[in-house]
Amino acid sequence: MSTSHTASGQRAGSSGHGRAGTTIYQRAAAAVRNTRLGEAVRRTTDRFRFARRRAVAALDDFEALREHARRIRAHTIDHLDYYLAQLAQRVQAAGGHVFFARTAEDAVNYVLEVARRHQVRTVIKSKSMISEEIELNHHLEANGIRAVETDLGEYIVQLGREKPSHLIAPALHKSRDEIAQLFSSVAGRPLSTDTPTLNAFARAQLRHEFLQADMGITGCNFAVAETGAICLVTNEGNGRMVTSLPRVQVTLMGMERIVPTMDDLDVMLELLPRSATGQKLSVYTTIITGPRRPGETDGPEELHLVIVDNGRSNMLGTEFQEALHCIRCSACQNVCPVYRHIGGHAYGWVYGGPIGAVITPLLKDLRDWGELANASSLCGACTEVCPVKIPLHDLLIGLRKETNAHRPAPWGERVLFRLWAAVASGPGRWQAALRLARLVQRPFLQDGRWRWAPPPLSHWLTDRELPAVARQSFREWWQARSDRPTSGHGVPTPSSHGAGAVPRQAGGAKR
Amino acid sequence: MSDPILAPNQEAFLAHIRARLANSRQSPHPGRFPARAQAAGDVPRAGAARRALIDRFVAELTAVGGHAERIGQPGDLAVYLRRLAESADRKLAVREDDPRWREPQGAPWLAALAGSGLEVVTASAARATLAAADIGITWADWGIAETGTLVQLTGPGRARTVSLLPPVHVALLPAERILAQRSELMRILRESGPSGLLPSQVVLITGPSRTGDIENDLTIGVHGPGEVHVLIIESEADTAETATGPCGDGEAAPW
Ligand code: SF4
Repeated sequence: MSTSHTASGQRAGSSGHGRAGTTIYQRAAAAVRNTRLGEAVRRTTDRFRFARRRAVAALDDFEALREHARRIRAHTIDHLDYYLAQLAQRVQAAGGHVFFARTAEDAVNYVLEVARRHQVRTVIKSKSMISEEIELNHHLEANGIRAVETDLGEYIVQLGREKPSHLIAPALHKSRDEIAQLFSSVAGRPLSTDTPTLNAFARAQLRHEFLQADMGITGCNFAVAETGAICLVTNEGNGRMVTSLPRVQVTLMGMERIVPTMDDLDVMLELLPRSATGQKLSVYTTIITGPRRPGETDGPEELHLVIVDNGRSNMLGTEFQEALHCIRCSACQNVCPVYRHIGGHAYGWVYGGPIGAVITPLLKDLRDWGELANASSLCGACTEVCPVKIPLHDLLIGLRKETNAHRPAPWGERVLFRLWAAVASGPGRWQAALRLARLVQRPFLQDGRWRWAPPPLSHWLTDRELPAVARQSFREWWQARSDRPTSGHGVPTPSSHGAGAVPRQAGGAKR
Repeated sequence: MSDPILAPNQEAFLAHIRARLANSRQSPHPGRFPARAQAAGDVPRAGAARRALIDRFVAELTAVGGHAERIGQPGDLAVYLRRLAESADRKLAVREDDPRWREPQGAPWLAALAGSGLEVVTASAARATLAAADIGITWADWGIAETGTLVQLTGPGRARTVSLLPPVHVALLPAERILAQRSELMRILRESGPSGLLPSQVVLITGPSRTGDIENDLTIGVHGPGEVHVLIIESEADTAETATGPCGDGEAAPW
């Protein structure tokens, strides 16, 4: 697989992100030390995952729905060229414009061109992860165009000149004190830190922006091929403002965010809000088909749909294709023990959590970002909650393999593992090794654990506990036990003489 | 249907995808989700089935923080609006220029607006006026019982902003427009209009605007309305205690 694509070579435009200079290990260590961050991440993710659990339990056919959704996603991505062509045709038939952007640069240039043509000075935006990927705000501002994020969380993150740290709660890492500080600097007067005050300030401030902006930019939760509709799912209503008030609407869509039919959309709407926030349905589900029509008093006069690849096609036709099934619900982030300890920023780019660890290396560069695949305990909690059944932990293992193929392990590690393989693949060698280990370990033990060890084991022991090799192995215990005559009710089965893997006595395993 | 005009870059973009997918197209489309496909079969409902839908709608809307009220007469609307106006010193309302106000059945409802004591302008007023309105009044196109959802379509005279800009949204919802499930709406939308073209915007509204973006503290009314009032207009058949639907009273609601 070739994944040598970089996001048009741009580093972070504004400060506070684009930390390719550090490793995931350094960023994670720093995040773990930040206890306030840890608390904040756990508070929000706990609320989401418990709400999700309740919402899912309320459906008696949830598992069937998941399987159905998985099949819709698999079919759609397998026939992506067909459905994208159908979508483009339908959007145009409804009076919209469609642009296919192979790279981040293509997408940015197209948006800038539309903005220039309409002499746009202010853009209001509803949440779009693609826009973060292509660093659109930076480029708009570099071209003299103000960009205002209007999702409350995104607004906070933008004021702090940061990146979102969660798919649907972008500012979950910010405390109310920090938010009050940011808002106060905009207000030019100190604001109190209570939620109603902060909320009222943001509402008034952004209301002003909504009413005077020339252009609205949105993301896209789902596009529907058969109707050419764009579906946005929001709770605040900013997505509706952005698609109702300005003269021009531009929607940025990752090329995989498409479903074939309205019925398929219905299935996704059943799963997305439940998996994300535990709501049966988000407050606003907006389904937009083309620009405003004759006789209508509001809505954009011009609508542009920008369909973005930006590295996604790297996954097509590979073992990682399923990563494109994602509907960005954030459920995997909320249950991930690693994400819950380090938050989203430690992943270093735009996407955090299990799905971020999978797609970041694939969208960007396996050599520079492949280490993200190690940011997982492989516990599989992500796979278990994913509403479209993406085998996230399998993909992470696959990525580790890919990464190691690109970057061979150090000499010492290879020798060590070769030795390990030799010892572990013969029962005789294994037992001999155990006997040896029992002797060797003595000086290192304390309270039945390894207290210290010489390098390279010492490094391994800094974050882990290694129990002592037991005085008697299971095999030895078993052997000793089954040699003893038993008077149980079991029927002796003398058929097995091999490696002792089959119990001779039916009751033999009881102690 | 118009001739397909290719979008710029379309050919190369899709050819690249096609080449990458060449060997992996095995997944058939699974069709409609069976449970939802069945449920969509039994509209319209009447009698007990409809009363069950109204009850469910009211319960779900209330659960997400909306207000539901069953009304029968245009006079009830005037009373409700007057109370809303007086409770918080609200003066200016905006309504859609919906054709339904002008239909013979709509006229008494329009007259009720005048009797509410509010100043009522239409959505074609200047944007500054709309932005200053205290209450937005719409005819809902559909309700969805399973989630307590209002459905608003755009069209001539139908504005997106009336249910969005004012801090209070009041929707009139005829009881017979309440669907059991969202899947029914999807089918109606797809089959609507000879060209198959959906309205320029369909919005599903489920309760008041909300956010948890400040330390997870649930806040109502961040951008959209903080209050959603749905006035369900019942006919006599809906309220009669012993009314029986054409399929008999025993017909169970699908949930
Ligand atoms: S990978 Fe699955 S669980 Fe994670 S965000 Fe995507 S759809 Fe949700």
